[in-house]
Amino acid sequence: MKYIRKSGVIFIGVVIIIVVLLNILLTDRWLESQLEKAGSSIVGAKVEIDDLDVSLLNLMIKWRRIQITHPEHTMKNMIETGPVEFKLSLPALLKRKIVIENMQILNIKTFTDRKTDGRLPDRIKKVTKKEPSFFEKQFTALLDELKKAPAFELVSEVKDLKPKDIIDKIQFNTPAKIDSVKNLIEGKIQKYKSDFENLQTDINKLKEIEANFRSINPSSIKTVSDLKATYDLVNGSIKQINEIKSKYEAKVNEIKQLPNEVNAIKLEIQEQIKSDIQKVKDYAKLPDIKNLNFVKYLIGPKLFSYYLTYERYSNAVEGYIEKMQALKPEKEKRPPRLKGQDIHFVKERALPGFWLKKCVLSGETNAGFKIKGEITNVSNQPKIVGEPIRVMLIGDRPDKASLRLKAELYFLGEVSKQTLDFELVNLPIADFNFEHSVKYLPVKVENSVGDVVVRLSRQGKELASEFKFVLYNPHFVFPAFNPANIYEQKFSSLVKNTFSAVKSFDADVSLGIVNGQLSMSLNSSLDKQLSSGFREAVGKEIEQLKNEAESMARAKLEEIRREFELKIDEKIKELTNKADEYKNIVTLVENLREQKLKDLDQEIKKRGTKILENILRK
Amino acid sequence: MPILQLIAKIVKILRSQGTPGQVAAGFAFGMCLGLIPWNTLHSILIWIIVIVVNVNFGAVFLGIAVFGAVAYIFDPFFHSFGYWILVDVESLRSLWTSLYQSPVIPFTRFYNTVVMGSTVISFLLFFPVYFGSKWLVKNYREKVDPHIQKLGLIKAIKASKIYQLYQKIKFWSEVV
Repeated sequence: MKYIRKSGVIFIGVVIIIVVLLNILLTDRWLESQLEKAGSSIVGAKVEIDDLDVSLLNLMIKWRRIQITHPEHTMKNMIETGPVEFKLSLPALLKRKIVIENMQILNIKTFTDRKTDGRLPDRIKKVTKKEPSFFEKQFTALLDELKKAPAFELVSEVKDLKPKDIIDKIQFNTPAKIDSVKNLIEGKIQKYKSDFENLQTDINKLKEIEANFRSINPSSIKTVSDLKATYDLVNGSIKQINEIKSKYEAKVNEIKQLPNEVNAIKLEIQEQIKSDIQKVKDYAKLPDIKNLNFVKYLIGPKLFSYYLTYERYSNAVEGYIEKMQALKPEKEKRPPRLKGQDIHFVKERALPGFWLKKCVLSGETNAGFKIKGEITNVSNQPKIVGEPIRVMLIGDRPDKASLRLKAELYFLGEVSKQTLDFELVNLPIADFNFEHSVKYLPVKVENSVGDVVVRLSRQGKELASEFKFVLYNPHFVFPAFNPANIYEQKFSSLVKNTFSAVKSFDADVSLGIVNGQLSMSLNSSLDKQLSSGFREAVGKEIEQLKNEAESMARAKLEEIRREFELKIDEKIKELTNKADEYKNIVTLVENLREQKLKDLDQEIKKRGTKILENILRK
Repeated sequence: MPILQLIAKIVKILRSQGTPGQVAAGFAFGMCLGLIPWNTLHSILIWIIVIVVNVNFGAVFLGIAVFGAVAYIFDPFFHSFGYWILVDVESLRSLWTSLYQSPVIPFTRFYNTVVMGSTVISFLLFFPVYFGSKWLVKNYREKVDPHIQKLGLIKAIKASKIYQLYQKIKFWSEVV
């Protein structure tokens, strides 16, 4: 007993009693904060539980209300529930797991107002914010494209748009190309010019030699030996002449290459002009007006923002579950100091960290639907549970509108799968905004009844989805705008008349991603009528505009090209003239030398004959 | 000043009434408590052992202070080491998986990289630290302390009235 401290045993006893008492008193607060923290990290906005009560004796948990903030609109609750009561499994708790056999969530309400902002602090947000997924990137790109709606810009521009305006808006590359080659060639020409200036001393020498040659008069030279000496001198001058000649010939050869070089550049410029003309064609290009999807621009932005929202939630859930059941989770580079990284060990037929086996739901949505349904096998490690997460929800309203939602999230295999079936039938529509940016199309629909059917299936990085949208007896509301020209007026009234005449408005969207390629088709019976209206309004004018702009651009660029070629050809000619001038001088000196050598030779021979005759006479 | 206080504390512990074994065990347990994150089941168990078993408390707190700072500095190493044991050592995977599903054991948070890293390191260091500190205390008391007590300065302090007054207060506070 000497190793045991009696006072220590008593102290531990007291501490245990205090801890048990504090646990009874504080478990509610602790568990509440833990559940709120876990929920908030999944949703990306505050999850708040009111009056959580934990009974340790029979492991019952109940709360008065739970508020799940809408992550996009943080002053609204996505879901708010009434009182909830459920029992925790003791064997699971001993294993530090939360398993709920049965839960009932009654009085669910959607999109309710919040008293405080449900935004998470930035510190937590940073952790939860992730790189957009493959699907998110695809949908965002599609949404951006739809929002631009380029086909419609031409209607408003067509009257005011002059061919010159198009040309002014286009950045032609030909002038810059010409400038750069012009500088290059002019630099070369300048260099040759200065080379010729350096040759001037040699040319002066040649001129001096020429003068010397001209001063030689063989008949005035007195003696034969002087004649011979002069002959040798003239003959020896060939060395100096050749030296000068070789210098100039090298330069002349280089200059002869210059026109070839310039010709190649001229061809390049021609190609550049072609490419610039193509730009004009592209700018003024008419959209394929036979297949214009007007309905795509009308409902596309709203529809794809729904796709994007679905994708963000789906991605968040998938990312969290993947992390929780990864066999070899990636090592976190810098986890918070002294916090480390939790590694979760997945084993089939065991217990997951969290498992809500069955949850029965009932309540009312903000659209007035009385809903009921159930969610089964909600777990953070579905591989352990061995069952997919399933959601089944039905709802109806006194006016015969009904909704049905069936979803299955399968995270058991290597690749995750999700299926979603959603139907909304006979839904009275009082006010539905389209959220597009095309001024000619209706901004909203009022006083109608609609059906919406969505079927979506996603497996890994592949997606197949169908979206059907029908409005019966719709009343479309158009934005107030003043037509800028007759074409706008014509087109907008055509659109208004077409929309006003419809008894039902339909849109069938099929969207899929296979092998990383996004494909989309959006059909509506309205598209044919609207396309023909568009052609009638502006088709002819745009074709004419395109042709005029093209010929104007061609004329402008050809003029720049001609001016350049003329200038360069002139400079090259000047240079070749200079070269020819030097060539003439050299040829002249060479010929003069030949002539003088001949004269001297004749004189020497003549005098030699005379001397010989005198000797013979004597 | 904190260094002087630490030295004074060490000297006080070295000269305390506890046996070298009690001081060494206290220091070794303190090391475990300093290195292992506090919110784990085995950390609480070590606290219970420290309180119940007759070890030197001063040494426990000294161990916590010293190795708490060490734990902060070596946290990235514990994370890497713990990750290696939990994820990279394939032969241990089945053991961790079964422990993860066992009752009570998950409360040790052994599946956390820092907890695993620091726990293994502190268990590996436990006996070397225990025997090392025991040898140190023993040698200090037998060889160094008698010489220090003979120093003129120490004798002068002990002979002073203030010191005698302090001894009296200390005696009566222990009696009360």
